[in-house]
Amino acid sequence: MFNYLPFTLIMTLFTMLGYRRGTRSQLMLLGALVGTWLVIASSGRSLLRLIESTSLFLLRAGLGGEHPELRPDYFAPQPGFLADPNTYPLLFVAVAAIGCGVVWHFGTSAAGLSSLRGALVGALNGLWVSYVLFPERVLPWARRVAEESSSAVGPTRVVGDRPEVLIIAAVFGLIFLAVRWIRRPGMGPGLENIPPPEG
Amino acid sequence: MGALELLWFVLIAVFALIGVVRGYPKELGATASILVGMLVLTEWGEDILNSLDLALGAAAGLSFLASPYAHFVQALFYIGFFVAMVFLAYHGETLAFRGYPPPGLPGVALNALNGAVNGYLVAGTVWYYLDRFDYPLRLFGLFSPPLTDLAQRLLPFLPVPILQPYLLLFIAFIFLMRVLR
Repeated sequence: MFNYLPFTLIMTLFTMLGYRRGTRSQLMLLGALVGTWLVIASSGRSLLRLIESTSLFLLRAGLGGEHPELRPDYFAPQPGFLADPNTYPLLFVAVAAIGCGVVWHFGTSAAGLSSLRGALVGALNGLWVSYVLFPERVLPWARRVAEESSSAVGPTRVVGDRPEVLIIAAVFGLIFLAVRWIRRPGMGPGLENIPPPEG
Repeated sequence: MGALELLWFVLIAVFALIGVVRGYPKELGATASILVGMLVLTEWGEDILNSLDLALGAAAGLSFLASPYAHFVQALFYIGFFVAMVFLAYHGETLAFRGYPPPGLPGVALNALNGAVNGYLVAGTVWYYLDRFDYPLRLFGLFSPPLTDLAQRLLPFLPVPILQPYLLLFIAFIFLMRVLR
């Protein structure tokens, strides 16, 4: 089906959350995501090994201790099953999901400009979570640029060399500005602003 | 400048004028419908066309897609479906936003820009499918290859190849803006 459905859902969820809960809660969530990402980037393997060894210990303790014959086979994960770089995004997503729950449950309703700013920061959070999960789908050009930059084959390409990025950004920006500047029906220039005659 | 790119620019200008006349709140509704049409064609166009070919071909006792006019049939399907979607988008209120443009020059500029974006989407998508199916217009003597240099440089910037990965995101964005504003 759609490759972009998860991305759209994540973006919608975070934007809606930001719109309903305002800027402050989204900035706190952003802080939590930044912190998590820094921890994973700097010591992800050791952190996951700690979680893994603790969970293995508890699992074995609860399922017959050190007697393998008492454990079912399907509860015998090998050491290293969790401390795999491929599972790093899962930890990040878990933090994001818990953060969303906390923000939704404990956050207060926002209105006005705070809602708008919250929606923008929420969209930023959603974009980041999506990028961690499936970078090649979210920003295919970003990965290409990174790969081209890291290889010594050709010169680094910047946004200016990719007019398609400018086209997409311009259309998004135009829609956003246009919608924000629409005047409500009650403010229009037509006869509908004139109250009906009495009597 | 050849006829094809000239026609493309003229169509964009005409759509910009339509935008000025109609006002961009209506144009944004048309944009949403046009994007939905593009999404349907890019995601399911081939499936729909194959199903139609199976159903109609079984009735007629042949396969249209295996005939010498396969390109023409494919172009007719894609462009016909898309033009029908555009007609529906511009016919009546459809998904139009409620409200009025801001007064003065900003309002006129936004109207023209939104109209031009719609023109880019409509004329660019039609051109994309003409190019994809090798310009079947030449069957009627309406086009003679090759493309000019300018037209060949413009081809990578047609809306379908650029926007295809982001169509669903654009549609969700417009509907979200409509709900949240």
